Amino acid sequence: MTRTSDPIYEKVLEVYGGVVGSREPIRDPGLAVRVLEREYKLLVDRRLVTLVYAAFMNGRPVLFEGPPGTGKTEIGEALLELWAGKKPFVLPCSENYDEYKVIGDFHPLMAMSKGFNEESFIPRPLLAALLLDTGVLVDEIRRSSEEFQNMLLDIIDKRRIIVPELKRVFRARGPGFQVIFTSNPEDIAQNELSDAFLRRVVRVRFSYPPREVEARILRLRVDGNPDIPQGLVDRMMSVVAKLRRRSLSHKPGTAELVLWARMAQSIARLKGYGLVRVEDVLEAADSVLVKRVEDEEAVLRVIEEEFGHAIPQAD
Amino acid sequence: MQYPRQIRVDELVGRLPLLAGTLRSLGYTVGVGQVVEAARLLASYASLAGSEALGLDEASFVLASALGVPEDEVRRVLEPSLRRKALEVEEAAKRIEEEIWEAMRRAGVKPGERVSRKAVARRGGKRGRRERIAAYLDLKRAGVIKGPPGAERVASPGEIRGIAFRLASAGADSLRDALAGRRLGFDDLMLTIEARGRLSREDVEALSVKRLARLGEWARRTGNRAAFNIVAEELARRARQGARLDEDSFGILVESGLLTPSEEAALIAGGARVDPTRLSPEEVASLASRLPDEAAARLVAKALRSMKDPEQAWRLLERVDPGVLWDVGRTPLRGPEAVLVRAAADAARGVKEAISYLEGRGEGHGDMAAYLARKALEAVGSLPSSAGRGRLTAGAVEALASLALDLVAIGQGGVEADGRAIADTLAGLDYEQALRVLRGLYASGSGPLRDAAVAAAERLLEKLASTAGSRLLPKKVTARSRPGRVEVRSSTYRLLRMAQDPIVYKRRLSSRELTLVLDISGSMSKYSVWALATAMAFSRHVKDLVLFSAKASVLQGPLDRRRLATALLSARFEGLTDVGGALRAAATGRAKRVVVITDLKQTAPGPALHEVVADLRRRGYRLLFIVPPDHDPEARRLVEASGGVVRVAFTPVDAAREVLRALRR
Repeated sequence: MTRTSDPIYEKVLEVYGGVVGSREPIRDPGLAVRVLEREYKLLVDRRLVTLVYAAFMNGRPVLFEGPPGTGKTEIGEALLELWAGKKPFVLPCSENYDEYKVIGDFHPLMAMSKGFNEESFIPRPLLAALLLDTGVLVDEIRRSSEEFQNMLLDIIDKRRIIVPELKRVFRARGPGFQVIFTSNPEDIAQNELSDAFLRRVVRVRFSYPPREVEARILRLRVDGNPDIPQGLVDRMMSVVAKLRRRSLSHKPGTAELVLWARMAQSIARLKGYGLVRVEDVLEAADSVLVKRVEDEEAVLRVIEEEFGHAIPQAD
Repeated sequence: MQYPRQIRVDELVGRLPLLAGTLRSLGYTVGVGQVVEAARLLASYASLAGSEALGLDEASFVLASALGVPEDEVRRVLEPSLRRKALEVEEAAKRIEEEIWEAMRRAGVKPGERVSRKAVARRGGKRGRRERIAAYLDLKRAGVIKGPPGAERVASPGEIRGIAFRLASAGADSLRDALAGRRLGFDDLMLTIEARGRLSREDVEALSVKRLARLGEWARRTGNRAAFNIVAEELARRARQGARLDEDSFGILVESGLLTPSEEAALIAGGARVDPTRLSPEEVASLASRLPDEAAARLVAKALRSMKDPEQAWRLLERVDPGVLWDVGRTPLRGPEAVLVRAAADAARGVKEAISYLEGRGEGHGDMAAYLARKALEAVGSLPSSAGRGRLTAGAVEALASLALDLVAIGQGGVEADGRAIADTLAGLDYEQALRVLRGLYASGSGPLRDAAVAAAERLLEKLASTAGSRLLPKKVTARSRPGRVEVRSSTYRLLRMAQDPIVYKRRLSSRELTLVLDISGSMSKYSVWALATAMAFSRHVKDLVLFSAKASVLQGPLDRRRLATALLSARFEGLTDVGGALRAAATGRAKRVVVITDLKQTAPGPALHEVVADLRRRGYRLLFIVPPDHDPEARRLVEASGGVVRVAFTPVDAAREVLRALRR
């Protein structure tokens, strides 16, 4: 990266430069799909990649909506990285998020002694992304306030950040600065997104994949050490499919299915087995599939129905 | 049913407005900006995919993401238009070709033949002429007969087949379908209507107001009531959307009875010309009572000028407020009656001059006011006290003349600088005039006189709020879901009279917080004053009040009458209006709901109104514009496209009701 005489840019480089890394950007959707499968172990629909890239070409932010465990965050990060050629910043939203936490603020002691200037200013990830020409993944945008969302949209729209205290306007340095939001619309504990926000984004809906696609994802992300028999895999997928049809407060996504398989493999390895057995799968099920106390009974019943065994209890 | 697997992107983009319209009719909110962005996204998607066409699934996927609508809904709307591109186009083309040949047979023309309208009309004599001309015009609209007048030619069989296929590809099922979207010139349209003997709604939609009036006149002349009603309905629709009407078109509307009295009054106030000779004296008086001062005076004067019968003139004069007689010149009255009317005109003019004097327009106005008032008093003094009838009596003229003199005295410092005294004097004027006087006093006076003007304005607002504002509030509210205090009287009444649940609860009127932005310049001041009156009932919930003409002044709520009165009187009018600037000032962040009363006529240099609206919408503000009928229609279109909501209020009371609706949950 080139050095400049801008002290803020220097600071950003110093703090964040090593984090973003560098690789060749990939802006062809077909090639991106292959790289996503090969390097990131992600099976992504080519249409989705093309749509996201089309949105980036028009400077539009993208909103990934869907239940947990459907790959929104992972795919979003991967796409931003392929587009920009650098790792994106991830902002896990909360109610207290404001511009100081994402753009930058001033070190109190330095500000008191030296004033509000570039020396006392601490840049934060959003400003860093703008200056380093990389993307930003805003995770669970519904947790944030409407003011924060409007502020973000304004920055994305105009591709600049104004810091009045420094009397500076920072502009995006290239097309790499793009934003993907993620949201779980089923979580009623979070705020609703305003109409104004929804009209400004390109919305992509994520849902649980069809069975054959999910099976491919499982094969891609779970190595064969030790191997899981196909019959066991089928029963695990049936359990997950049944749980999704129930009215649970937390339904398992593909991520949980993958985690379940990996946990079962780890348990089998620890025990010294060369093949994953039913007991290993059942042991792993308890910690992976039961997320809420109120769901426990329903989950255990489905597992028992499918496997014919109850989950073994710890001694 | 087969359909092409792919649709060209430029064709998809061309169908987007139709798609958006269909989705809106299904209840989805699709903004104009979203449609534009969807078009860009489609183009970028296609370019990335390396193709000029997309399949149905892909197109639905992209559009669903861009418009925020479920994918299967988009597919459901798109699919029929793709499906047409197949066998059905062939069938439709065949059908249309047959209909073209049938029309040619009716018109008596052959393929390749040179024709003209006259020749077609003459063919076969008078019998069936209408049918031949109608068929000829249909063929012209379809493009089967082409060429400049004098060199028109019928298409060849091959060309006819091509025309039929083109029409079918564009979505027509039949020739009638295809012609529905094609407009004729006005003379041809008249011929078609005469030939057909009837008028359809599609015919009138593209006509100008002037041509609509011509059509209405034709319908009236030929006794075609159905056609007359169609024209009147179209004129009423346009009038409600703010179109300017001329005398003929307004006359058609008045005759049709489609407008409410307040709509009629508002249109006249907004510039629609009315011919009072077509109205009875009682109707003129009724209309004048609903019009602003200037319009009422013009109407009454015009009516009196056209009357020949003195009794008819009296039927008008006895019903109007003597204060609007300032423009009256010639009347059919003679003798003492004429003297009384002239004296009333002088006294009314005297009041106008006195108001101008108090507004600070110069001492000459004060002198003229005093002169006219004294002249009126002298003339009335020579008449018996029982002279006149109805509202126009010697006593009424005397009171008017005395008002003029009292107003002049205020300006000369002859009246004690007391708010109550001034307010009592101004009670003879309407609120708009009273405010003008008080503004003048505030601007030109100092110290005690200024304070007195503010105190008088306060009393004025209080009176307005208690009469006008509270009149619009509901008398009682019944609520079953949330019990509170019981309304004993109503409950007892219900128990005795009805066999229903007798308990009636009082419910406190709850309201939202909002920012109110009021245009107090020129003709908008009356709307704004009424809006203010209703807002006073909810003064706690009006977070900020912005009063503006060329400059905006922001009053932070809750509204205090004294501050309000001072702001109203001290607001400067420079003949210009800056709506965009006022909106910017209103975006204080204390309330996200903003209600604006304005005619959208941005005349002062300032930020473009629609840009300000779009910016505020992006920042989360919700904007409601309440406009009079004569608002700027182009500005309205831009404001609506930028995300603002616009409602037309025909009278200041309507405007106040809209404000109330915005305030209340």
